[in-house]
Amino acid sequence: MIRRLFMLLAVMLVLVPLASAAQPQFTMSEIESQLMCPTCQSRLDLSHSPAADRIRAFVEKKRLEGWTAQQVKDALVADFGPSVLAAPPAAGIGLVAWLVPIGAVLVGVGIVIALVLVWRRRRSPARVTEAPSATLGIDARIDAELQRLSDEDA
Amino acid sequence: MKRLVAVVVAVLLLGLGIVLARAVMQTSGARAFPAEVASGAKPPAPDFALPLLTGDGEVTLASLRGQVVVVNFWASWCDPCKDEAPILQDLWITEAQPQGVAFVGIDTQDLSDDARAFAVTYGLTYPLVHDDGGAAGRAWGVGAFPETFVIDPQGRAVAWFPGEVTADGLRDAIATAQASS
Repeated sequence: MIRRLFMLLAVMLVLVPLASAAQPQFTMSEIESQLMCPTCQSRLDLSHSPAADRIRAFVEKKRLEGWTAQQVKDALVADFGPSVLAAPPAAGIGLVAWLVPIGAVLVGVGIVIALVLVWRRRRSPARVTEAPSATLGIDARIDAELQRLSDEDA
Repeated sequence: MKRLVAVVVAVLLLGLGIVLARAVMQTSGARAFPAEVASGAKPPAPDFALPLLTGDGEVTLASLRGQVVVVNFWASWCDPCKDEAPILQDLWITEAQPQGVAFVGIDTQDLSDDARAFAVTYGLTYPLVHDDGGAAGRAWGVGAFPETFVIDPQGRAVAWFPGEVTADGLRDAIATAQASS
């Protein structure tokens, strides 16, 4: 009995990794949107050129063999170059394409913050300068009125 | 604060400039080489060092200097390449090889496994290389398939065939390259 259980365990230990290795690691729609057709410069999922069809067949074959999406991408980059990837690599000249939009957003946010600060600063001093002059005006008028009353009494 | 904003904006402009310049260079320079060949200017052919499609080793254009070289860009998914392959193979065996003319088939924008199967199907025996990453195809301005160039012994491109070659057309171009000095 124990021997049979051990044999069953051994068989399972062999089969389980094999079964999981052959499991597709990604879907076709996922990876197709991340790849470019090298001859038509459009995304693979939008292209039906002969080259795109061959790439699609290659990807599907490797997917069913259990390759990861990264392995498939690496193989395609080796044959077609980095332009086969829809998103540029975050290294070398491709890094510029990642950093420029991020930088543009940061500069945009900075400009908005700077404009708000300038706007607030312009409004605040106006109140400060108006108040004393108004106060001084009233004080002067009160003084003048008091002076007039005292002159009348005199 | 103002200085920081100015620096960030300058960096951004520089980045955008690089991206723009690269795009313009790729677009404008893409077909420059074939156009020069077509004009009869005999421009020097861009060198390449590409791995053989089957087996070890590589082929460089520089190593073929002194010979007339027929450089054929192809891909396994290209239908005209299927029609052209027997023409090239026949010319290579019957005329070019005996005359000391070199043939190089550059497989580009293609899966290397598909290309190897193509070579077996059409029985191609002249040297075939794989354009890893497509750099050679870009340097030569290849935009459609197939495209064939004929290089004279001095390394200058004397003929360009966009699309499928004919045996007579290629024969004439080889004769022109042999006579070129």
